Amino acid sequence: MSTWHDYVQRNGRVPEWPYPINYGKMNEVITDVLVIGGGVAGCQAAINAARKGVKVAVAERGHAKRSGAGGAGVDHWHGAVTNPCSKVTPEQYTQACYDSMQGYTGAHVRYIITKEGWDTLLDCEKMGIQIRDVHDEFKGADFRDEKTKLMFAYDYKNRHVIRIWGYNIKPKLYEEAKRLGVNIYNRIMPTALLTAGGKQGTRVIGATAVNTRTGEFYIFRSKATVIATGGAGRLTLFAPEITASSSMSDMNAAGVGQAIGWNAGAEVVCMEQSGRNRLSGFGYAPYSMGGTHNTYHGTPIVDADGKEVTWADVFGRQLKTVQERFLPAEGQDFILGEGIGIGPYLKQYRSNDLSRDLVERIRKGEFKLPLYADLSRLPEPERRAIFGMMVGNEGKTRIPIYDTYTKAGFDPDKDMMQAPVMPPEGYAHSNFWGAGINTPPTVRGLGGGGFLTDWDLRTNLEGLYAAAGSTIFGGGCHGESHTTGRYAGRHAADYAKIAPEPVADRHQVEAEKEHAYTATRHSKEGNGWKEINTAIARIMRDYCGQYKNELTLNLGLRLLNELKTTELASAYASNPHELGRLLECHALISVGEMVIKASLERKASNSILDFHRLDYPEMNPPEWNKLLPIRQENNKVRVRELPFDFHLRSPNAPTYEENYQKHCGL
Amino acid sequence: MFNPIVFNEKTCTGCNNCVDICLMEILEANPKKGKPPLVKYPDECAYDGACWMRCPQREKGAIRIVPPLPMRVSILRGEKP
Amino acid sequence: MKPDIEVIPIETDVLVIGGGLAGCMAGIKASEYGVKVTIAEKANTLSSGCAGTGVDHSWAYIPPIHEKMGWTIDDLIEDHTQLIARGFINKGLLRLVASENYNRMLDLEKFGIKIRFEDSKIPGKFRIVYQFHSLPSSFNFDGRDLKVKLTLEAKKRGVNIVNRVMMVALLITDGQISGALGISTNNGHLYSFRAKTVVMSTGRANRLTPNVTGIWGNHRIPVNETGDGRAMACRAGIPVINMEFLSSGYYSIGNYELNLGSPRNTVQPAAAVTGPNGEVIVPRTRFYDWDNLGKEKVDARISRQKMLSGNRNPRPSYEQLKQQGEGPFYLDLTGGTEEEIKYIEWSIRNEGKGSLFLDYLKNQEGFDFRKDKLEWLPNSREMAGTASSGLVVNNDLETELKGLFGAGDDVGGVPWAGAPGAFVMGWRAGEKAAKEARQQKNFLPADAGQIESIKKLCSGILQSKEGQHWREIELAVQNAVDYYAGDIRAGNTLRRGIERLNDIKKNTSFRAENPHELMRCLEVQSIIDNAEMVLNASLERQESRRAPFGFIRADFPEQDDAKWLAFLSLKRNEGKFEFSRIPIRQ
Repeated sequence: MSTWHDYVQRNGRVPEWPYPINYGKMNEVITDVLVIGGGVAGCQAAINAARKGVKVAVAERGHAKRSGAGGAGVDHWHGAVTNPCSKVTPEQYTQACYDSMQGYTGAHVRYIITKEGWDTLLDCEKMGIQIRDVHDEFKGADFRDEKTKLMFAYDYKNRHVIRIWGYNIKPKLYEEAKRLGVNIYNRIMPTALLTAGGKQGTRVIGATAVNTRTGEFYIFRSKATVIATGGAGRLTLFAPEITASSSMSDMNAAGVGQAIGWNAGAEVVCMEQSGRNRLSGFGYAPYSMGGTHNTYHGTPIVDADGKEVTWADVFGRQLKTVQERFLPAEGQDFILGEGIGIGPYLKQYRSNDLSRDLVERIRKGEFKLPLYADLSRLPEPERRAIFGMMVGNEGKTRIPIYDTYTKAGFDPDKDMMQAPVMPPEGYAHSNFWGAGINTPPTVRGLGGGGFLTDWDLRTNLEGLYAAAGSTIFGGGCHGESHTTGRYAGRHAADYAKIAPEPVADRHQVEAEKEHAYTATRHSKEGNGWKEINTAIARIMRDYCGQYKNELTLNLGLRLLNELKTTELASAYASNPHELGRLLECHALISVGEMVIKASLERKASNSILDFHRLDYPEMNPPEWNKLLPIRQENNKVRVRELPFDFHLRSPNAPTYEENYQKHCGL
Repeated sequence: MFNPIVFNEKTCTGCNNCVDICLMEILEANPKKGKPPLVKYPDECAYDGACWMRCPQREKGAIRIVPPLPMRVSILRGEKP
Repeated sequence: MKPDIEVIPIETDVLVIGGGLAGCMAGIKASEYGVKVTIAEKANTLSSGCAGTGVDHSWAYIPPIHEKMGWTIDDLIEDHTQLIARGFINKGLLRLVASENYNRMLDLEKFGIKIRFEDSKIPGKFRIVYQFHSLPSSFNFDGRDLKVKLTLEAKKRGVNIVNRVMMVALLITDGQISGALGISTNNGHLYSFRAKTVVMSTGRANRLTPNVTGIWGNHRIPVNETGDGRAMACRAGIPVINMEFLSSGYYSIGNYELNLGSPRNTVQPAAAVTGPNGEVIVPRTRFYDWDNLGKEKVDARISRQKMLSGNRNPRPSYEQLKQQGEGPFYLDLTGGTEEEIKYIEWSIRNEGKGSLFLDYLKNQEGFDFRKDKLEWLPNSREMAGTASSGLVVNNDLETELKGLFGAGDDVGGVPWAGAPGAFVMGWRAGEKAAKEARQQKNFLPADAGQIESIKKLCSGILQSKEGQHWREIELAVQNAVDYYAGDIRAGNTLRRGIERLNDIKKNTSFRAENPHELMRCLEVQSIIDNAEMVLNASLERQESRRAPFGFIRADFPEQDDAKWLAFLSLKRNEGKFEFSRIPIRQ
């Protein structure tokens, strides 16, 4: 029984809202750089802008100390390609991503990430995060380099993904930001970007927001703005009875950044891309991250009789030892490593995996379900690294998995972890751990789409920069969010130094203020935010699911609009927290509209984007091999065509390195 | 006189964890990198097994401890019940 | 390699000498007080000390369990005092250890040591077994890599661990500790530590008599524990107690010396000791019936009585039985169930040297506990664990020298304190040492003369062309101690033994080829100092005390509690020993 219930039972009424509520009270913050979103990307942006000597404010919806998908920790870092042990170059890595996605990725962002990923990690080390085996816990292990004490994941030969002790990475960033004098505003829910003249498509000069504890109104005026708000996990999946239903994204992720950017006229691309969503609330182990393809990568899998499932390289050759799982096969360039927002991988970059015929062999009865992960069959240092270092540092694993299992007596030296029992095809990929392959394929999540940025990580709007893996086109996972945040913050600061004073448009501010508090003026008979969120997710799943056509998409738009103008318009917020959640529903609807509108523009099916048009079933017709960025102009959708290599065409230089040197600002 | 520690040159990677941890300081790193350590004072071995416990390639048989004859236990073998 | 000895000065607020269980706990706790902490360790803290390769038991008063039994902490203290020590114990220190070790075990859990088990039906999901007391009071846990985890914890807290430095002398200025000197076993340089407080935790005193198997390193206790702490104290004139209790060798698993114990301890409950025809000499035991927990309160006096008298055989004298024609004797687990044997193998794996031993038994000898037996044979002599020799400390672990604390097996007067003693005393000494160091503003100046003399001593040994190899000297001393301080002693022989030792000291000189051998020489020097204390203390105690440790004087065959129910403290003063008696309060 929760203490809330105890209180109600004892006192016969619900507890009062503990903060003084002041809807409409104005607070103005004037700053050089405003960072919207205080996750790892946002904090890095703030830190690096502050280092440039400008005034920085962060608007964070939760509390920046632990907020965001990276708030609960991280166990490995992608993009540190220039580390001293790496045999991969930024060019090779970028080309691998570009080729795997056949162009549907922001390769320029990948290049920036790989040029600066290692330096960003070294920055983190200076902030007190352990990135090397300084205590020699794993001395002599295959995945460790003796000289640098760095530990690697996935590819022990090419050594570009680094295992780190990232449990406290967020609090350390937070401390550093505070130390540098960044003003962090927690519990702040943005409602809109402020633009020059209050128009769509002009320079971004700040934002409006509502405090979710006091309900007060905030006006941020800034010379430059960085959006780093993460993904929009609650867009297609919302099950209030299962917390943390999507393992990877933060439960607070409602795509607010994308929504306010879109409403201000920012350009987004590949929003029509989707992937299978993760229902890790139904997965093993629930409430945590780290699937078998990353945190537990390489773990031997056995069936109910203890028979071990064989591993094979990407060419189908059986692997004989555990060690081989972490090495590229003959004929492969290097292993990219999973979880970076790229897929399907080309063979020369794909990870080793369980034998492809596992599904058949389960069907035939050769392997008996359930399957188990048997850590005891790993070499001892690998076992200790996986259960104790990776599990323990990766997000949402320290308490839900490591502490809880250990206290219950779990012993990785002899106990096994059961994999979920699924139809045989569920085991087609070794990633059946917690990532919820149990999810029906109709339940989509957003793919790699997001803000379209240039080589400065600036959007099409002056003064507006973007960062974070799930926010920009071309971003990746945790490390990449740090790196893009760092880069964007630097550039935002440089711009702020020369930019003119931001002047807010009074009408825009007033309109926002009026709109923001709508829900507080309604009666208690209005819907609550959970019902609205559920409805949004339902609409997206049904009308913009894995398979769609013009009709369903338009129906979806209509229904979202109806929801917005009826139930949402009359929804009720009984306190500032619920108000914040309803404002998120507004954002979710905007993101939904964005996704549907992008889907409408692509009149062809596409295998890379996992995009299926029933009315245009031809897969990847050559005339549709292009990017289709969209934006709003006078509230109408404008689409244009962009070649995949736009970042290497005029006005950009023809090579990655030239562009980087010109734009990095170092 | 004794040969308490036997290395397998194929599976030992020369990480020298055993050299660092040895209670009795009887091992010395091999001047050739990547080769197994040298047992400098075999008669001073304490047979505690810390080197063997610490070896990351132990499961591949990189290090084996062999107690000398006078130390081998005296066993009365029985029939399986 | 004969290097020129450099002096390397290091300043630290708290210096911990010896990085075993007690030393690491002291370092870890001291780090909480904002002072600079250094642990100086002769080998490597990852594997040093009695728990270097594991410890599987740790006794304590465990409130969630013992309260349910109706057993109080006073009951445990009485048990330990009577059953283990026969009254010969420092009750104040015992109370400290008994009452605090439960908290220390919870601290260990925080450091990543597994003390709870899914299949346990005991409150807290612990595994609790019998060990020393009439009721089960010992945690049975995953201590195999305890030292690795403690080392990691210390490092995480910023403790400076200096491995491969053998400490040889305490530095005293104006009547208080001002530091200590040690020799690097790698390069021979002299580490001169300046410290505000020092915790002495070098463990036990080993290698006083020859090894019965002739394999030098084959000891139950780590063979590099040569009573360095006691020796340093002795040379500095700090009192040490219980040095006379060098026991006779007892029977255990023969040839391969390690600590499995019987019938309680690591091989319980299935282990029995049987004879050549399977006849039972020491019967097997049972685990406590945990289903009964809390159903009826235990009468502590009765349970203690039961254990004192017939039900649990006090260890039979196998030597006597052999002389009567009995034997051979075997450690016999063949009566154990599958589950019991699995449990015991787990416990062995966690006991010191047990992992390697089990691997050797199974893979090299093809041994199977279900059908094979291990012969029970005499092990080498040791300073009796039931006597617990060591430094004299008060309940705050302070020695009589201001700023010098003791912890663990280096502390005298708490028989079988073992791991609990190390955890508790280490923790407490670390706390006290840190707090005291915090109050001292400046370091005291070091005694340049003493630094010079140690430097000269060590260079002398390294440069000597004559002299004996350390093994020769050690064996000569061991033979003397074994003979003159044998199982049965007498005044004249003891006096002769003291003369012999003096002869050896006068007519030998050490030589070493390199810093490693220098360390061994210095260990032998410790052995000599300890041996002197053994002989002199034996001569001074004019009584016999058979139980629990077998100190027998042919010339004083009776136990004399009136005069000798006391700790005999000796300290060296200008080459001569001064004695005093510390009466044991009942």
